[in-house]
Amino acid sequence: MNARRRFLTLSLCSFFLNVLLATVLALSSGCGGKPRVRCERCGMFLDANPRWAAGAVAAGGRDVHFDAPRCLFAWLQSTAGIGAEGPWVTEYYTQHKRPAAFVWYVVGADLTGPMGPDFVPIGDEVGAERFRGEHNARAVLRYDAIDAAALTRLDAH
Amino acid sequence: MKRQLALIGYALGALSRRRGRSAAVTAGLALVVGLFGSVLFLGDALRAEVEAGARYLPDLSVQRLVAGRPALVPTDVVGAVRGIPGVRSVNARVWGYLYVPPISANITILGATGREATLHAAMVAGRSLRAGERGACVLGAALAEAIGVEPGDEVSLSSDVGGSDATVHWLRIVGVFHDASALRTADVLITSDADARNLLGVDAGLATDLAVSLTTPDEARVASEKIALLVAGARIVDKQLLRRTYALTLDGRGGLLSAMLLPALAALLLLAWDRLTGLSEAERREIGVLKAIGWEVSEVLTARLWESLLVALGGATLGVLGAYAYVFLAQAPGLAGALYGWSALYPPLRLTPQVDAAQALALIVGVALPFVAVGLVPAWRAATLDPDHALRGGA
Repeated sequence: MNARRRFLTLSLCSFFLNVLLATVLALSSGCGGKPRVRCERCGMFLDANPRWAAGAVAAGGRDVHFDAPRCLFAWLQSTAGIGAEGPWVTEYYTQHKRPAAFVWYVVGADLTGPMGPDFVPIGDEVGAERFRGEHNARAVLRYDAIDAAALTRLDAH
Repeated sequence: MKRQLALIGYALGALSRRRGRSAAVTAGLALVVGLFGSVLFLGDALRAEVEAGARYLPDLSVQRLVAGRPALVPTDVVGAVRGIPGVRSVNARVWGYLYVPPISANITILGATGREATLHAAMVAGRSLRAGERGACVLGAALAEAIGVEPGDEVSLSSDVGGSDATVHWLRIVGVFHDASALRTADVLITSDADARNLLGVDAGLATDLAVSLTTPDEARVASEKIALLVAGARIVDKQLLRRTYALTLDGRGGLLSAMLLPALAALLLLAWDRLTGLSEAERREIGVLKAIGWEVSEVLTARLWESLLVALGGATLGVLGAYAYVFLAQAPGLAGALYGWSALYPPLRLTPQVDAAQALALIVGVALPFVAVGLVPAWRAATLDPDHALRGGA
Protein backbone atom coordinates (compact mmCIF):
# COMPACT_ATOMS: atom_id res chain seq x y z
CA MET A 1 0.00 0.00 0.00
CA ASN A 2 2.84 2.29 1.00
CA ALA A 3 4.67 1.68 -2.25
CA ARG A 4 1.53 2.37 -4.22
CA ARG A 5 0.94 5.65 -2.42
CA ARG A 6 4.52 6.68 -3.09
CA PHE A 7 4.11 5.83 -6.77
CA LEU A 8 0.84 7.77 -6.90
CA THR A 9 2.37 10.87 -5.32
CA LEU A 10 5.39 10.67 -7.58
CA SER A 11 3.27 10.29 -10.70
CA LEU A 12 0.95 13.15 -9.76
CA CYS A 13 3.93 15.38 -9.00
CA SER A 14 5.57 14.61 -12.34
CA PHE A 15 2.28 15.23 -14.14
CA PHE A 16 1.79 18.66 -12.61
CA LEU A 17 5.47 19.47 -13.14
CA ASN A 18 4.84 18.65 -16.79
CA VAL A 19 1.88 21.01 -17.02
CA LEU A 20 3.90 23.72 -15.26
CA LEU A 21 6.83 23.22 -17.63
CA ALA A 22 4.55 23.44 -20.65
CA THR A 23 2.97 26.64 -19.33
CA VAL A 24 6.32 28.26 -18.59
CA LEU A 25 7.62 27.31 -22.03
CA ALA A 26 4.51 28.66 -23.73
CA LEU A 27 4.64 31.92 -21.78
CA SER A 28 8.36 32.46 -22.24
CA SER A 29 8.04 32.26 -26.00
CA GLY A 30 5.29 34.85 -26.24
CA CYS A 31 6.33 37.55 -23.80
CA GLY A 32 7.65 40.93 -24.86
CA GLY A 33 8.69 44.22 -23.27
CA LYS A 34 7.12 47.47 -24.45
CA PRO A 35 4.09 47.49 -26.75
CA ARG A 36 4.96 47.07 -30.43
CA VAL A 37 3.91 49.67 -32.99
CA ARG A 38 1.43 48.51 -35.62
CA CYS A 39 0.72 49.88 -39.08
CA GLU A 40 -2.31 52.17 -38.96
CA ARG A 41 -3.65 50.77 -42.23
CA CYS A 42 -2.89 47.03 -42.32
CA GLY A 43 -2.09 46.26 -38.67
CA MET A 44 1.31 44.66 -39.33
CA PHE A 45 4.10 45.19 -36.79
CA LEU A 46 6.61 47.87 -37.82
CA ASP A 47 9.62 46.31 -36.10
CA ALA A 48 9.42 43.26 -38.38
CA ASN A 49 10.72 45.32 -41.28
CA PRO A 50 11.57 48.87 -40.15
CA ARG A 51 13.42 49.71 -43.37
CA TRP A 52 10.17 50.65 -45.12
CA ALA A 53 8.51 52.56 -42.25
CA ALA A 54 6.43 55.67 -42.96
CA GLY A 55 4.18 57.91 -40.93
CA ALA A 56 2.15 61.09 -40.59
CA VAL A 57 0.26 63.18 -38.05
CA ALA A 58 -3.49 62.49 -38.26
CA ALA A 59 -6.06 65.29 -38.24
CA GLY A 60 -6.56 64.88 -34.49
CA GLY A 61 -2.84 65.46 -33.82
CA ARG A 62 -2.10 61.77 -33.24
CA ASP A 63 1.12 60.24 -34.64
CA VAL A 64 0.32 57.38 -36.99
CA HIS A 65 2.78 54.83 -38.36
CA PHE A 66 2.80 52.64 -41.45
CA ASP A 67 4.88 49.61 -42.37
CA ALA A 68 5.30 50.67 -46.01
CA PRO A 69 4.84 53.75 -48.23
CA ARG A 70 1.90 52.12 -50.02
CA CYS A 71 0.01 51.86 -46.73
CA LEU A 72 0.71 55.56 -46.09
CA PHE A 73 -0.64 56.54 -49.52
CA ALA A 74 -3.67 54.29 -49.24
CA TRP A 75 -4.43 55.83 -45.85
CA LEU A 76 -3.88 59.41 -47.10
CA GLN A 77 -6.40 58.77 -49.88
CA SER A 78 -8.97 57.23 -47.54
CA THR A 79 -11.35 59.25 -45.36
CA ALA A 80 -9.16 58.52 -42.33
CA GLY A 81 -6.31 60.47 -43.92
CA ILE A 82 -8.25 63.68 -44.52
CA GLY A 83 -6.49 66.62 -42.87
CA ALA A 84 -3.32 64.62 -42.14
CA GLU A 85 -0.07 66.58 -41.91
CA GLY A 86 3.66 65.98 -42.27
CA PRO A 87 3.70 62.59 -44.03
CA TRP A 88 7.17 61.08 -44.01
CA VAL A 89 8.86 58.04 -45.52
CA THR A 90 12.17 56.21 -45.00
CA GLU A 91 14.60 57.06 -47.78
CA TYR A 92 15.95 53.88 -49.38
CA TYR A 93 19.70 54.62 -49.62
CA THR A 94 20.23 56.55 -46.38
CA GLN A 95 17.49 54.92 -44.26
CA HIS A 96 16.65 58.35 -42.87
CA LYS A 97 13.19 59.88 -42.37
CA ARG A 98 12.34 62.31 -45.19
CA PRO A 99 9.22 64.41 -45.87
CA ALA A 100 7.09 62.34 -48.26
CA ALA A 101 6.52 65.28 -50.62
CA PHE A 102 10.24 65.85 -51.24
CA VAL A 103 11.38 62.47 -52.50
CA TRP A 104 11.00 60.57 -55.78
CA TYR A 105 9.15 57.26 -55.88
CA VAL A 106 10.27 54.37 -58.07
CA VAL A 107 7.62 51.81 -58.99
CA GLY A 108 7.92 48.33 -60.45
CA ALA A 109 11.37 47.60 -58.97
CA ASP A 110 12.70 44.07 -58.41
CA LEU A 111 12.46 44.39 -54.62
CA THR A 112 9.40 43.97 -52.49
CA GLY A 113 8.41 45.71 -49.31
CA PRO A 114 6.48 44.18 -46.41
CA MET A 115 3.24 44.61 -48.41
CA GLY A 116 4.57 43.39 -51.76
CA PRO A 117 5.40 45.76 -54.64
CA ASP A 118 5.86 49.27 -53.30
CA PHE A 119 6.88 52.85 -54.01
CA VAL A 120 10.63 52.99 -53.26
CA PRO A 121 11.45 56.47 -51.86
CA ILE A 122 14.70 57.89 -53.27
CA GLY A 123 16.11 61.22 -52.10
CA ASP A 124 17.00 62.85 -55.45
CA GLU A 125 15.95 62.57 -59.06
CA VAL A 126 19.34 61.43 -60.38
CA GLY A 127 19.44 58.69 -57.76
CA ALA A 128 15.88 57.67 -58.59
CA GLU A 129 16.66 57.35 -62.30
CA ARG A 130 19.82 55.34 -61.54
CA PHE A 131 17.86 53.10 -59.17
CA ARG A 132 15.24 52.58 -61.89
CA GLY A 133 17.92 51.25 -64.25
CA GLU A 134 19.66 49.08 -61.65
CA HIS A 135 16.52 47.49 -60.27
CA ASN A 136 14.63 47.04 -63.57
CA ALA A 137 11.94 49.42 -62.41
CA ARG A 138 9.05 50.83 -64.46
CA ALA A 139 8.78 54.51 -63.65
CA VAL A 140 9.72 57.35 -61.34
CA LEU A 141 6.82 59.29 -59.78
CA ARG A 142 6.55 62.49 -57.78
CA TYR A 143 4.45 62.71 -54.62
CA ASP A 144 1.52 64.44 -56.33
CA ALA A 145 1.33 61.79 -59.06
CA ILE A 146 0.53 59.02 -56.60
CA ASP A 147 -3.23 58.63 -56.72
CA ALA A 148 -5.69 55.75 -56.46
CA ALA A 149 -4.81 54.63 -60.00
CA ALA A 150 -1.08 54.50 -59.17
CA LEU A 151 -1.87 52.38 -56.10
CA THR A 152 -3.91 49.96 -58.21
CA ARG A 153 -1.17 49.77 -60.85
CA LEU A 154 1.41 48.73 -58.19
CA ASP A 155 0.05 45.20 -58.18
CA ALA A 156 -0.53 45.06 -61.93
CA HIS A 157 2.79 43.34 -62.63
CA MET B 1 -12.96 18.52 -11.66
CA LYS B 2 -13.18 16.32 -8.57
CA ARG B 3 -14.49 13.52 -10.75
CA GLN B 4 -11.61 13.90 -13.21
CA LEU B 5 -9.09 13.93 -10.35
CA ALA B 6 -10.59 10.74 -9.03
CA LEU B 7 -10.35 9.19 -12.49
CA ILE B 8 -6.70 10.30 -12.74
CA GLY B 9 -6.12 8.72 -9.35
CA TYR B 10 -7.69 5.51 -10.57
CA ALA B 11 -5.64 5.59 -13.79
CA LEU B 12 -2.42 6.05 -11.80
CA GLY B 13 -3.39 3.12 -9.59
CA ALA B 14 -4.06 0.98 -12.66
CA LEU B 15 -0.68 1.97 -14.13
CA SER B 16 1.09 1.08 -10.89
CA ARG B 17 -0.62 -2.33 -10.88
CA ARG B 18 0.83 -2.98 -14.35
CA ARG B 19 4.14 -1.42 -13.46
CA GLY B 20 6.31 -3.44 -15.84
CA ARG B 21 4.24 -2.72 -18.92
CA SER B 22 3.81 0.98 -18.09
CA ALA B 23 7.54 1.39 -17.53
CA ALA B 24 8.39 -0.38 -20.80
CA VAL B 25 6.02 1.75 -22.89
CA THR B 26 7.17 4.95 -21.14
CA ALA B 27 10.80 4.05 -21.78
CA GLY B 28 10.07 3.31 -25.45
CA LEU B 29 8.31 6.64 -25.89
CA ALA B 30 11.08 8.47 -24.07
CA LEU B 31 13.64 6.91 -26.39
CA VAL B 32 11.83 7.91 -29.59
CA VAL B 33 11.05 11.44 -28.35
CA GLY B 34 14.62 11.72 -27.09
CA LEU B 35 16.04 10.87 -30.51
CA PHE B 36 13.74 13.34 -32.29
CA GLY B 37 14.40 15.97 -29.63
CA SER B 38 18.17 15.57 -29.93
CA VAL B 39 18.07 16.25 -33.66
CA LEU B 40 15.80 19.28 -33.14
CA PHE B 41 17.83 20.71 -30.25
CA LEU B 42 21.13 20.17 -32.02
CA GLY B 43 19.80 21.79 -35.19
CA ASP B 44 18.47 24.76 -33.20
CA ALA B 45 21.74 25.17 -31.32
CA LEU B 46 23.79 25.07 -34.52
CA ARG B 47 21.42 27.50 -36.22
CA ALA B 48 21.78 29.84 -33.24
CA GLU B 49 25.59 29.60 -33.50
CA VAL B 50 25.39 30.54 -37.17
CA GLU B 51 23.06 33.45 -36.41
CA ALA B 52 25.28 34.67 -33.58
CA GLY B 53 28.27 34.51 -35.92
CA ALA B 54 26.43 36.21 -38.78
CA ARG B 55 25.50 39.13 -36.52
CA TYR B 56 29.15 40.25 -36.52
CA LEU B 57 29.71 39.61 -40.22
CA PRO B 58 29.86 42.60 -42.55
CA ASP B 59 27.01 42.81 -45.08
CA LEU B 60 29.53 42.22 -47.85
CA SER B 61 33.06 40.82 -47.50
CA VAL B 62 35.18 41.71 -50.49
CA GLN B 63 38.05 39.29 -51.06
CA ARG B 64 40.30 39.02 -54.06
CA LEU B 65 41.42 36.01 -56.03
CA VAL B 66 44.46 35.82 -58.25
CA ALA B 67 44.88 32.60 -60.24
CA GLY B 68 42.18 31.09 -58.07
CA ARG B 69 44.08 31.75 -54.83
CA PRO B 70 43.25 34.37 -52.17
CA ALA B 71 45.25 37.55 -52.64
CA LEU B 72 45.49 40.91 -50.88
CA VAL B 73 43.08 43.68 -51.81
CA PRO B 74 44.51 47.09 -52.76
CA THR B 75 43.12 49.70 -50.38
CA ASP B 76 43.04 52.50 -52.97
CA VAL B 77 39.58 51.28 -54.02
CA VAL B 78 38.14 52.01 -50.55
CA GLY B 79 37.13 55.56 -51.48
CA ALA B 80 35.37 54.43 -54.64
CA VAL B 81 33.54 51.62 -52.81
CA ARG B 82 32.45 54.08 -50.13
CA GLY B 83 30.95 56.26 -52.85
CA ILE B 84 28.56 53.53 -54.03
CA PRO B 85 24.98 54.46 -53.08
CA GLY B 86 23.72 52.39 -50.17
CA VAL B 87 27.20 51.75 -48.72
CA ARG B 88 27.39 52.96 -45.13
CA SER B 89 31.03 52.21 -44.38
CA VAL B 90 34.04 50.35 -45.73
CA ASN B 91 36.65 48.84 -43.46
CA ALA B 92 39.95 47.60 -44.91
CA ARG B 93 40.83 44.77 -42.57
CA VAL B 94 44.21 43.22 -41.98
CA TRP B 95 44.06 39.76 -40.48
CA GLY B 96 45.65 36.39 -40.95
CA TYR B 97 47.12 33.35 -39.29
CA LEU B 98 50.45 33.19 -37.51
CA TYR B 99 52.12 29.97 -36.40
CA VAL B 100 53.26 30.06 -32.79
CA PRO B 101 55.82 27.28 -32.15
CA PRO B 102 55.53 27.09 -28.31
CA ILE B 103 51.85 26.10 -28.49
CA SER B 104 52.20 24.33 -31.86
CA ALA B 105 49.17 26.14 -33.23
CA ASN B 106 48.07 28.88 -35.55
CA ILE B 107 46.58 31.95 -33.96
CA THR B 108 44.44 34.55 -35.71
CA ILE B 109 45.97 38.04 -35.75
CA LEU B 110 43.46 40.82 -36.31
CA GLY B 111 44.41 44.42 -36.91
CA ALA B 112 42.08 46.77 -35.04
CA THR B 113 40.68 49.52 -37.20
CA GLY B 114 38.03 50.89 -34.90
CA ARG B 115 34.59 49.51 -34.34
CA GLU B 116 35.40 45.81 -34.39
CA ALA B 117 38.29 46.24 -31.96
CA THR B 118 36.35 44.76 -29.07
CA LEU B 119 34.36 42.29 -31.21
CA HIS B 120 31.38 43.15 -29.00
CA ALA B 121 32.82 40.63 -26.59
CA ALA B 122 33.02 40.99 -22.85
CA MET B 123 36.39 41.78 -21.36
CA VAL B 124 37.27 39.20 -18.73
CA ALA B 125 40.30 41.09 -17.41
CA GLY B 126 42.07 44.34 -18.22
CA ARG B 127 40.73 46.81 -20.78
CA SER B 128 40.08 46.94 -24.50
CA LEU B 129 42.54 48.35 -27.01
CA ARG B 130 42.69 52.13 -27.47
CA ALA B 131 42.51 53.55 -30.97
CA GLY B 132 45.95 53.50 -32.62
CA GLU B 133 47.69 52.09 -29.53
CA ARG B 134 51.02 50.50 -30.62
CA GLY B 135 52.79 47.54 -29.04
CA ALA B 136 49.70 46.32 -27.21
CA CYS B 137 47.20 43.54 -27.76
CA VAL B 138 44.09 41.87 -26.36
CA LEU B 139 43.71 38.09 -26.40
CA GLY B 140 40.87 35.59 -26.52
CA ALA B 141 40.41 33.86 -23.16
CA ALA B 142 41.28 30.39 -24.50
CA LEU B 143 44.49 31.63 -26.11
CA ALA B 144 45.54 33.48 -22.95
CA GLU B 145 44.99 30.27 -21.00
CA ALA B 146 46.97 28.20 -23.54
CA ILE B 147 50.04 30.47 -23.34
CA GLY B 148 49.51 31.05 -19.62
CA VAL B 149 49.49 34.85 -19.63
CA GLU B 150 47.41 37.62 -18.09
CA PRO B 151 47.08 41.39 -18.60
CA GLY B 152 50.38 43.14 -17.92
CA ASP B 153 52.49 40.31 -19.36
CA GLU B 154 54.28 40.56 -22.68
CA VAL B 155 54.28 38.05 -25.52
CA SER B 156 56.93 37.76 -28.18
CA LEU B 157 55.79 36.79 -31.65
CA SER B 158 58.02 36.10 -34.59
CA SER B 159 56.77 37.81 -37.72
CA ASP B 160 55.59 35.71 -40.62
CA VAL B 161 57.88 37.31 -43.19
CA GLY B 162 60.35 34.46 -43.00
CA GLY B 163 64.01 34.16 -43.93
CA SER B 164 66.45 36.72 -42.69
CA ASP B 165 63.71 39.36 -42.49
CA ALA B 166 61.98 37.59 -39.58
CA THR B 167 61.88 39.85 -36.56
CA VAL B 168 60.58 39.33 -33.08
CA HIS B 169 57.78 41.62 -31.91
CA TRP B 170 56.95 42.23 -28.29
CA LEU B 171 53.32 42.95 -27.50
CA ARG B 172 52.03 43.94 -24.08
CA ILE B 173 48.77 42.25 -23.16
CA VAL B 174 46.28 44.87 -21.99
CA GLY B 175 43.16 42.73 -21.84
CA VAL B 176 41.60 39.30 -22.17
CA PHE B 177 38.15 38.93 -23.69
CA HIS B 178 35.52 36.27 -23.87
CA ASP B 179 32.52 35.62 -26.04
CA ALA B 180 29.46 33.38 -25.60
CA SER B 181 30.73 31.36 -28.54
CA ALA B 182 34.31 30.21 -28.02
CA LEU B 183 34.50 29.38 -31.73
CA ARG B 184 34.83 33.01 -32.76
CA THR B 185 37.30 34.30 -30.23
CA ALA B 186 39.28 31.39 -28.78
CA ASP B 187 42.44 31.88 -30.82
CA VAL B 188 42.20 35.59 -31.62
CA LEU B 189 44.85 38.21 -30.88
CA ILE B 190 43.82 41.79 -31.64
CA THR B 191 46.51 44.41 -32.03
CA SER B 192 46.86 47.73 -33.80
CA ASP B 193 46.62 47.84 -37.58
CA ALA B 194 50.32 48.72 -37.90
CA ASP B 195 51.48 45.91 -35.59
CA ALA B 196 49.27 43.41 -37.42
CA ARG B 197 50.83 44.51 -40.73
CA ASN B 198 54.33 44.02 -39.31
CA LEU B 199 53.53 40.61 -37.88
CA LEU B 200 51.77 39.32 -40.97
CA GLY B 201 54.00 41.01 -43.52
CA VAL B 202 51.16 42.94 -45.17
CA ASP B 203 52.41 46.12 -46.84
CA ALA B 204 50.65 49.46 -46.50
CA GLY B 205 48.18 49.96 -49.31
CA LEU B 206 46.99 46.36 -49.13
CA ALA B 207 44.41 44.65 -46.94
CA THR B 208 43.23 41.09 -46.34
CA ASP B 209 39.67 41.98 -47.22
CA LEU B 210 37.17 44.83 -47.22
CA ALA B 211 34.27 44.72 -44.78
CA VAL B 212 31.42 46.64 -46.39
CA SER B 213 28.42 47.70 -44.35
CA LEU B 214 25.22 48.59 -46.24
CA THR B 215 22.31 50.79 -45.22
CA THR B 216 19.86 48.22 -46.57
CA PRO B 217 20.46 44.56 -47.47
CA ASP B 218 18.18 45.02 -50.51
CA GLU B 219 21.06 46.85 -52.18
CA ALA B 220 23.53 43.94 -51.73
CA ARG B 221 23.15 42.63 -55.29
CA VAL B 222 23.61 46.00 -57.00
CA ALA B 223 26.48 47.03 -54.68
CA SER B 224 28.22 43.67 -55.31
CA GLU B 225 28.01 44.20 -59.07
CA LYS B 226 29.53 47.66 -58.73
CA ILE B 227 32.32 46.46 -56.42
CA ALA B 228 33.15 43.64 -58.84
CA LEU B 229 33.80 46.30 -61.49
CA LEU B 230 36.10 48.23 -59.14
CA VAL B 231 38.20 45.35 -57.74
CA ALA B 232 39.83 43.03 -60.25
CA GLY B 233 39.21 39.37 -59.37
CA ALA B 234 36.85 40.26 -56.54
CA ARG B 235 35.05 37.51 -54.67
CA ILE B 236 32.18 39.05 -52.77
CA VAL B 237 30.54 37.16 -49.92
CA ASP B 238 27.00 38.33 -49.20
CA LYS B 239 25.97 37.85 -45.56
CA GLN B 240 22.34 37.06 -46.46
CA LEU B 241 23.38 34.37 -48.93
CA LEU B 242 25.81 32.87 -46.44
CA ARG B 243 23.08 32.68 -43.77
CA ARG B 244 20.64 31.13 -46.20
CA THR B 245 23.20 28.53 -47.27
CA TYR B 246 23.90 27.53 -43.68
CA ALA B 247 20.20 27.39 -42.84
CA LEU B 248 19.50 25.19 -45.87
CA THR B 249 22.38 22.86 -45.06
CA LEU B 250 21.39 22.44 -41.41
CA ASP B 251 17.68 22.09 -42.20
CA GLY B 252 18.46 19.54 -44.90
CA ARG B 253 20.65 17.40 -42.68
CA GLY B 254 18.33 17.69 -39.68
CA GLY B 255 15.34 16.77 -41.85
CA LEU B 256 17.11 13.73 -43.25
CA LEU B 257 17.98 12.51 -39.75
CA SER B 258 14.39 13.07 -38.55
CA ALA B 259 13.03 11.19 -41.55
CA MET B 260 15.29 8.28 -40.66
CA LEU B 261 13.76 8.26 -37.18
CA LEU B 262 10.15 8.09 -38.42
CA PRO B 263 10.15 4.27 -38.71
CA ALA B 264 11.12 4.11 -35.02
CA LEU B 265 8.04 6.14 -34.10
CA ALA B 266 5.83 4.01 -36.33
CA ALA B 267 7.22 0.83 -34.78
CA LEU B 268 6.53 2.14 -31.29
CA LEU B 269 2.95 3.07 -32.11
CA LEU B 270 2.40 -0.37 -33.63
CA LEU B 271 3.78 -1.98 -30.49
CA ALA B 272 1.57 0.21 -28.32
CA TRP B 273 -1.49 -0.75 -30.39
CA ASP B 274 -0.60 -4.42 -30.02
CA ARG B 275 -0.11 -4.12 -26.26
CA LEU B 276 -3.23 -2.08 -25.66
CA THR B 277 -5.61 -4.22 -27.74
CA GLY B 278 -4.91 -7.40 -25.88
CA LEU B 279 -6.71 -7.12 -22.53
CA SER B 280 -5.24 -9.40 -19.92
CA GLU B 281 -7.49 -11.59 -17.76
CA ALA B 282 -6.85 -9.35 -14.75
CA GLU B 283 -7.79 -6.20 -16.71
CA ARG B 284 -10.95 -7.82 -18.00
CA ARG B 285 -11.95 -8.76 -14.47
CA GLU B 286 -11.13 -5.27 -13.24
CA ILE B 287 -13.36 -3.65 -15.86
CA GLY B 288 -16.08 -6.18 -15.09
CA VAL B 289 -15.98 -5.20 -11.41
CA LEU B 290 -16.08 -1.49 -12.29
CA LYS B 291 -19.07 -1.94 -14.59
CA ALA B 292 -20.79 -4.17 -12.03
CA ILE B 293 -20.48 -1.53 -9.29
CA GLY B 294 -22.07 1.02 -11.60
CA TRP B 295 -19.31 2.73 -13.66
CA GLU B 296 -20.58 4.23 -16.88
CA VAL B 297 -18.98 3.47 -20.27
CA SER B 298 -17.77 7.08 -20.42
CA GLU B 299 -16.05 6.77 -17.05
CA VAL B 300 -14.20 3.58 -17.97
CA LEU B 301 -13.26 5.19 -21.29
CA THR B 302 -12.00 8.36 -19.59
CA ALA B 303 -9.98 6.38 -17.07
CA ARG B 304 -8.34 4.37 -19.89
CA LEU B 305 -7.61 7.58 -21.82
CA TRP B 306 -6.04 9.15 -18.75
CA GLU B 307 -3.83 6.08 -18.50
CA SER B 308 -2.57 6.54 -22.08
CA LEU B 309 -2.19 10.28 -21.65
CA LEU B 310 -0.18 9.93 -18.45
CA VAL B 311 2.14 7.38 -20.06
CA ALA B 312 2.46 9.51 -23.23
CA LEU B 313 3.16 12.79 -21.43
CA GLY B 314 5.50 11.15 -18.95
CA GLY B 315 7.45 9.40 -21.69
CA ALA B 316 7.55 12.47 -23.94
CA THR B 317 8.75 14.75 -21.12
CA LEU B 318 11.40 12.26 -20.08
CA GLY B 319 12.49 12.12 -23.72
CA VAL B 320 12.72 15.91 -24.10
CA LEU B 321 14.68 16.24 -20.86
CA GLY B 322 16.94 13.38 -21.94
CA ALA B 323 17.51 15.03 -25.31
CA TYR B 324 18.41 18.32 -23.60
CA ALA B 325 20.93 16.59 -21.35
CA TYR B 326 22.37 14.62 -24.28
CA VAL B 327 22.82 17.66 -26.52
CA PHE B 328 23.80 20.41 -24.11
CA LEU B 329 25.42 18.56 -21.22
CA ALA B 330 27.03 15.69 -23.12
CA GLN B 331 27.49 17.74 -26.37
CA ALA B 332 25.70 15.12 -28.52
CA PRO B 333 28.38 12.47 -29.01
CA GLY B 334 27.72 10.52 -32.21
CA LEU B 335 24.92 12.68 -33.54
CA ALA B 336 26.97 15.87 -33.82
CA GLY B 337 29.16 14.45 -36.58
CA ALA B 338 26.14 13.92 -38.82
CA LEU B 339 25.05 17.54 -38.56
CA TYR B 340 28.45 19.25 -38.50
CA GLY B 341 29.77 17.50 -41.56
CA TRP B 342 33.02 15.60 -41.47
CA SER B 343 35.64 18.18 -40.67
CA ALA B 344 36.92 18.31 -37.12
CA LEU B 345 36.53 21.73 -35.56
CA TYR B 346 39.12 23.58 -33.57
CA PRO B 347 38.54 24.63 -30.86
CA PRO B 348 35.88 22.17 -29.70
CA LEU B 349 32.45 23.70 -30.26
CA ARG B 350 30.63 24.17 -26.96
CA LEU B 351 26.97 24.47 -27.85
CA THR B 352 25.05 27.24 -26.13
CA PRO B 353 21.68 25.91 -24.88
CA GLN B 354 19.06 27.06 -27.30
CA VAL B 355 15.55 25.65 -27.16
CA ASP B 356 12.60 26.69 -29.25
CA ALA B 357 9.75 26.26 -26.76
CA ALA B 358 7.17 25.88 -29.50
CA GLN B 359 9.18 23.09 -31.09
CA ALA B 360 9.61 21.21 -27.80
CA LEU B 361 5.87 21.48 -27.14
CA ALA B 362 5.06 20.41 -30.70
CA LEU B 363 7.28 17.37 -30.24
CA ILE B 364 5.58 16.36 -26.99
CA VAL B 365 2.11 16.88 -28.45
CA GLY B 366 3.05 15.30 -31.78
CA VAL B 367 4.02 12.06 -30.09
CA ALA B 368 1.52 12.09 -27.22
CA LEU B 369 -1.54 12.67 -29.43
CA PRO B 370 -1.06 9.71 -31.82
CA PHE B 371 -0.24 7.56 -28.81
CA VAL B 372 -3.50 8.50 -27.08
CA ALA B 373 -5.37 8.09 -30.37
CA VAL B 374 -3.94 4.59 -30.80
CA GLY B 375 -5.30 3.73 -27.34
CA LEU B 376 -8.79 5.03 -28.14
CA VAL B 377 -10.27 1.97 -29.88
CA PRO B 378 -8.96 -0.57 -27.35
CA ALA B 379 -10.26 1.71 -24.58
CA TRP B 380 -13.69 1.81 -26.20
CA ARG B 381 -13.68 -1.98 -26.58
CA ALA B 382 -12.75 -2.39 -22.92
CA ALA B 383 -15.35 0.10 -21.77
CA THR B 384 -18.20 -1.62 -23.62
CA LEU B 385 -17.44 -5.06 -22.21
CA ASP B 386 -20.45 -6.75 -20.70
CA PRO B 387 -19.77 -6.92 -16.94
CA ASP B 388 -21.32 -10.36 -16.61
CA HIS B 389 -19.12 -11.82 -19.36
CA ALA B 390 -16.07 -9.99 -18.10
CA LEU B 391 -16.43 -11.31 -14.58
CA ARG B 392 -17.15 -14.84 -15.71
CA GLY B 393 -14.07 -14.74 -17.93
CA GLY B 394 -15.98 -14.95 -21.22
CA ALA B 395 -15.25 -12.75 -24.22
